[in-house]
Amino acid sequence: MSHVDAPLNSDEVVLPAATLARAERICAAVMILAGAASVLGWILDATQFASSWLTAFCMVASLATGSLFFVMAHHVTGAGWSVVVRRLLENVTRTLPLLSLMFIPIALNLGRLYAWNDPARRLGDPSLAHRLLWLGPAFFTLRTLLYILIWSLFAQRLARWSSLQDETRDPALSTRMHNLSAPGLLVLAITTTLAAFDWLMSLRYAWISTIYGVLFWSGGFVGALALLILIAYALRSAGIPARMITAEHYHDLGKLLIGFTIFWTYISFSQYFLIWYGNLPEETAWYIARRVGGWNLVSWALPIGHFAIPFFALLRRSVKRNPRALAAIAAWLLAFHYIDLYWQAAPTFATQGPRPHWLDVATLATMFAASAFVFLRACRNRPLVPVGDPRLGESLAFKNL
Amino acid sequence: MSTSAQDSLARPLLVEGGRTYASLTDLVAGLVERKPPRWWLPAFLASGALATVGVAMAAYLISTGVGVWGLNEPVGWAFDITNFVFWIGIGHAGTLISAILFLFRQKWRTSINRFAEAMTLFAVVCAGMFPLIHMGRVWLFWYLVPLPNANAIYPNFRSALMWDVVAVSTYGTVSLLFWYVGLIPDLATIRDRTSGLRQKIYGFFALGWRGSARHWREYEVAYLLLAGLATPLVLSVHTIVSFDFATAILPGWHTTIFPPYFVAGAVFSGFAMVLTLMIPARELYGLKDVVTLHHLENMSKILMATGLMVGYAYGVEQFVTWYGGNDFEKYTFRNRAFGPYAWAYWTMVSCNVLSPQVFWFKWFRRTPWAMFAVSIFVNIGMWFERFVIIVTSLHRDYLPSSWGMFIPTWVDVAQLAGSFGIFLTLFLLFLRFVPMVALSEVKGVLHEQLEHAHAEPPPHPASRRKEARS
Amino acid sequence: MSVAPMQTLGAIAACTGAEALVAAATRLRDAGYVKFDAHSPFPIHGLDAAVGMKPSKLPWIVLAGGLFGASFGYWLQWIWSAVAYPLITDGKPFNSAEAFVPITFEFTILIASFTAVGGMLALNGLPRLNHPAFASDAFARVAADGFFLTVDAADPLFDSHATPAFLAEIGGFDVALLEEPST
Repeated sequence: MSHVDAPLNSDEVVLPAATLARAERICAAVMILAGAASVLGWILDATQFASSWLTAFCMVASLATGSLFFVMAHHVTGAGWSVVVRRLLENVTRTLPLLSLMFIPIALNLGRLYAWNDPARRLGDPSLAHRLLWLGPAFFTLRTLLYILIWSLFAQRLARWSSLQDETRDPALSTRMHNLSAPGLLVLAITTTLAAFDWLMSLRYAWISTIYGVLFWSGGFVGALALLILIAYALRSAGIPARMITAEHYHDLGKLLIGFTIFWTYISFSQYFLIWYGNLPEETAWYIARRVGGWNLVSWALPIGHFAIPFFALLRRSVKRNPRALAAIAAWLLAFHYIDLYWQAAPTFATQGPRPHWLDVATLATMFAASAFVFLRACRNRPLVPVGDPRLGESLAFKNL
Repeated sequence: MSTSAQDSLARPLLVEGGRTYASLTDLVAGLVERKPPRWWLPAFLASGALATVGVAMAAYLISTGVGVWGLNEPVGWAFDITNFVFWIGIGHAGTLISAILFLFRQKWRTSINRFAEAMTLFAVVCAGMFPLIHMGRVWLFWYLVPLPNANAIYPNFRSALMWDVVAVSTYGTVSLLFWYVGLIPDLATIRDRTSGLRQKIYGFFALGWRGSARHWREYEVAYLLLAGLATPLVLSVHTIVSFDFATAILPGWHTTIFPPYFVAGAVFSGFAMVLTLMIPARELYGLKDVVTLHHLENMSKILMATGLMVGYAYGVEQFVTWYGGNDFEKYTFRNRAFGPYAWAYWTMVSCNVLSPQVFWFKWFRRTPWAMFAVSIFVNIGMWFERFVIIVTSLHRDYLPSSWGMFIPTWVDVAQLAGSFGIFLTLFLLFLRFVPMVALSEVKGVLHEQLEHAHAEPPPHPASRRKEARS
Repeated sequence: MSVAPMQTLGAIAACTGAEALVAAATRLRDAGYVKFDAHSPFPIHGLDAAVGMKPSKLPWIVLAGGLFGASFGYWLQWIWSAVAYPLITDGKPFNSAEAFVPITFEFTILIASFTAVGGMLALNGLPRLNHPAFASDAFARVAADGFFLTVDAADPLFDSHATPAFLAEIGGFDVALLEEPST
């Protein structure tokens, strides 16, 4: 079925160079300022720095892998409607290699972050002996770098073929992207699971939960959807024509957002519920630590802010079709995604209750600014929609029933 | 620009053979109106005989006692709960196809959803039977119902078994509603094409449907809402089934991945059963224009994807067991793979994880008999999965002095066979008396297809070619 | 025609297809008819607007049903486990909210589903034993492959001569009056 040429011109869907340059300058400035603040914080309070940095790292990593998942799922299912947003997601996944740089401060602070790396415990805790086969500092670091390498390779390959298709318009490239994405999803599932086990679950090494990988992924995917909605909304104000991403596309993104918010709730509740019901001390310790002092408040804030409020807000069709309203909910969910990760990581260090610190902001700003910079660079030379995709016409003309 | 790639990307036709509204109606409604094909009666009698065996076994158990099964200490749950989980899982594909694929706008589902929903209903019937007869004294079932009474007998709402009763009955009821709502327009079709008593019966169930724009509007909203309700429902049902095990602190049962893992397994087994039933049915009833190779290919892809999810769960369980280092857990998993029931474990792994891997190759995804073979393997594998989870965790737990083995009796086996008889009997009745393809929905798809063909004249060559090959 | 005096219930016309039906319904609406309906074997996108309908109220009804189901499900477990028969089981509190989630959820879905089906039928005025349109023999094709317009005789613009003529003008064929013997 040969589609009529896309009713969008290539030059309509490229950000003006001046806008890009200005945005890049802002990102660079924020990155330098926040980065300097982070370094200062590292010197002043290394443990607080490490804790904040790890949380921010998990945040950007979950968003980038969530976006990679979306791109791959799009290719595997041969989805038509999401073609117009695919390039934006591809550009987000271009930030994946950056994670290897962001990981350096974690690798240098393993002793402060992870109890399993504490020499005193190594001698005193016999249950740790066999775990150290997996959790040794060298193997831990190597593994993380390997995950990042694998993700980056997949992301780079898919983005390159996608750019190539802009020029050649060869539909065979779509088939190749499809064929790479099927095994890619499998690899992505395994590596993100292990990454979640490594980065977050091993903070309390005696605690195990088999669902943890799915939990990390579900939160990251909600975050990635929210981020995508915000990017699309920002582009609209930057002058990209509204008929590129229409109310129909927002409607679908909104449906996915509510669906996966429910899914996140389901997974989080399943983990909590089974541990609560089983009532085994080695498992409940994780949740008891999150009922101490102010943490109890955060534990209650999550089901309300990460589920109930966005759920009822997103029920109405008119809200999902209104870009401004949807973007507001997306921003809210993105914030709660961070709170969720904070709630998973920080109680290990702030045992008496949450201790918000300016370093939380500084580290997150550093990483977001750096990622945004890479994202904007990726936007520089390519149209913001895959103009060579044979299904672009279908996506532009897409209507919800 | 390569044309073959262009072909493989093009949206395949979902209704083939140049069908019109009228010929589609004749094809599907004709199956209900005409005499059944010659094989139908013998098949019905055979499955009816098998169903009778099932009823007789249940009667034998109720009159004699649960001891006629191979259950004993320490294995107090074996075939019965295995069969229960197996059947309820099969049902889930029906809801997945009718609700989740509807929400994801997968139009190809319209050809198979009626079929799959019927499968759901009959699978729930078979599933519900097992916990009931496992009680032995079935007349005490009312203890589960919250009725004020003088004996202070009350249902324990903190027990997973009570949740199960509520979840499965809700699931059965909502599935029936969903199925019936989908049927109303098609029953009206048959009402208008027949006469006499048959017209009265179908007319009664069609409720006076006359396809008015007002009808359709409310109908579509109701259908969408039901799909939105059935989607979390189907997740919750197998989640609650998994709670039967995961809330107990038994090694091999108490693990947090159980809820999504059970749901994936349920969809996996259900899709296998849809393929097992659909492949012969489309041959025997000449439905190849409506259930095309493209439909079968999609189903085999879902089969492979869900199979990989199940494989992921097996892997995560094994890894975390090693990582967690709990001796009892480690022993349970070693015992599963290398203990006396190792044959069951490896049957499960090879059927569920290995056999669907052939679907990486297109040939297997487009060859009905190969798909049929894999679907049988998956049915077997998923039955063994529940058997492995249930029996291997029970037969050797904390105290070696209380270890034992479970050996099924002939009654166990006959009861399982009988449940297949009940399922097939109900299914054959469905094929005979109910339009097995959702006519109004397929017409909607055909309408889009005709509109599209109108806008872009040449019919797509690729799908013609595929048709010629099948 | 027949001997008994006939009562006119409305007029009916067939259309060639889905697009013709939408076009004709739009013309009827624009001409000022209000009590008319379009009938088709499958739902047609855009027909509801052509017939001039407002968005459905059903989602709100179902939301209410779901909220009722949730409250009822929780109330039932609470009254039974914490008030009527307070017994400690599993070492859990009498009112153990977590343990009540599964059944609360199931009740939500159950009541909401019944509301969806019941509400749909009620809003459609179904089940209904007979309808003027069934007086037409051609109408038997409606659930197979027929597309029809019906105008109710109660419509203020209805006229047993002008309306059929107008139906023919806007693309209807096999135009007929729906009649039954008056009682």
